[in-house]
Amino acid sequence: MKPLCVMLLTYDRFDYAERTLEALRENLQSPVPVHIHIADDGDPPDYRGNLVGVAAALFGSEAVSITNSERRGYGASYNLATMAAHTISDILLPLEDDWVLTRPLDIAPMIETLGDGDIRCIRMGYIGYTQTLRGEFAYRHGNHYLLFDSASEEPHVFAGGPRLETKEFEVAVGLWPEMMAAGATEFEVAHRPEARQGIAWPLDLIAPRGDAFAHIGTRVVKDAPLGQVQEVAV
Amino acid sequence: MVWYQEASQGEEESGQMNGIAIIATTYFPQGEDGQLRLEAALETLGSWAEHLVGGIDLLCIADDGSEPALHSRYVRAASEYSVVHGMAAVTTARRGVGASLNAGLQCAWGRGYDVIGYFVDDWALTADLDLRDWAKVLTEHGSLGMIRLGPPHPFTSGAVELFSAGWGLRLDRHGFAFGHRPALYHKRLFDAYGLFDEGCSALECERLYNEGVCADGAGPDIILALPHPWRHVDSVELSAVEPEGVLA
Repeated sequence: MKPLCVMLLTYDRFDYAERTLEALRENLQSPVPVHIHIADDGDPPDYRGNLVGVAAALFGSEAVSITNSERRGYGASYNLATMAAHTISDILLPLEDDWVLTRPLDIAPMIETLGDGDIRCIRMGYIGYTQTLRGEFAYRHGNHYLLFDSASEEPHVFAGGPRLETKEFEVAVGLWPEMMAAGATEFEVAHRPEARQGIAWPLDLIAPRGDAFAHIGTRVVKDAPLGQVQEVAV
Repeated sequence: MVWYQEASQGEEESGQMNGIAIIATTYFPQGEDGQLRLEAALETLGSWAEHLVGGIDLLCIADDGSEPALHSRYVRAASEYSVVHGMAAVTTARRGVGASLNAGLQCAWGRGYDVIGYFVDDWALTADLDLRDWAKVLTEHGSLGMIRLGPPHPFTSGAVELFSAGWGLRLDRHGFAFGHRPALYHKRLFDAYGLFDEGCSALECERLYNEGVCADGAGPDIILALPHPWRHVDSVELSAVEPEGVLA
């Protein structure tokens, strides 16, 4: 049985990352084992070592891996992480280091739904919009989903918050742009046609206001200077 | 509690304005089916009493010719809930759910209620719900005629919209945009689309009203509130049963 791979994207927020991992361990109910892949973007070795230690203590040392994109930005960190994560799992949970799971969440029905193939990415943060966001109701494995319309005027049919998605979805979306701030990276990806297909909200499992994951990131690091592009060993 | 009987016969007015009246349509036939249906209705009634924050201003029991003893048991049970602040009962003698609803609407309108909840007797509330939040939305948004509170029908679609009460989907006019699931109605819905068809099954009544809503591009919109804390209580299915009464 392949595990679920949580890709924890982090940079320079150890306290947030630690809290996010602890909350995940406490509240995430998964029908398959959980693997934590830490996607670090150039923190010092002791930061990475300590975070691996935290994850190993919570999930087991065999269930933790790490990549380092060395300040090439959010997109590079994601790209490097997916290269590793795709060898581990077919179901991924990208999770920025400041999204804390605040209550028990059983993801079994969502994993089952992803197995059907038509829904490829299930958002779990909150529903927001600045332009018209359209959707259609769908019923899958005992739960209602709002399947977002890819033709919506709203740029964020896909959003960068916590989400469950398939490896096929990530492959179809492709590599994310590098050397860009996190928000701009997400915005570019959200405009890709492949990133707007098969995106759903689990209506019966998470309230649209976002009652599962809380965004605790009051300290923003997206404007921290990015380094020069370097070759990095995976 | 304020008690009304047979609103169609013109009893005293409640004097309550700006509250929410709830119509509960019931039909308990004779025999085992009626017993089972009553048990489901009592379960759902209990769930409303438990979870409706602020209680029920007016519960209008719109019955379609139930076996009298079963109907009496339901009315008596409802009257025993302290959260039910006022009650009325109307009967339509087997003219179908459309007739029951129309009678219930007239009963509520006659007592000054513009916002009316329709709670089907086999849909139980599973979490606390303050109807006043969505009633406020319905009252303040003149473009809306109805807020669906129950689960959606598959393949219905619309646009996400954030209201003061929470997230909703402004439904497109296709599929079952209108449905006989728990909802809040504003009088302007009926001003635009008319009353329900009578003398037909519940399914046909729902289909015909939906057809009218979908065919009219100018009438008030329907919102489906997200999420929807309701559970359908399995019981004897009567939605396809044709009524027996003579149309008025």
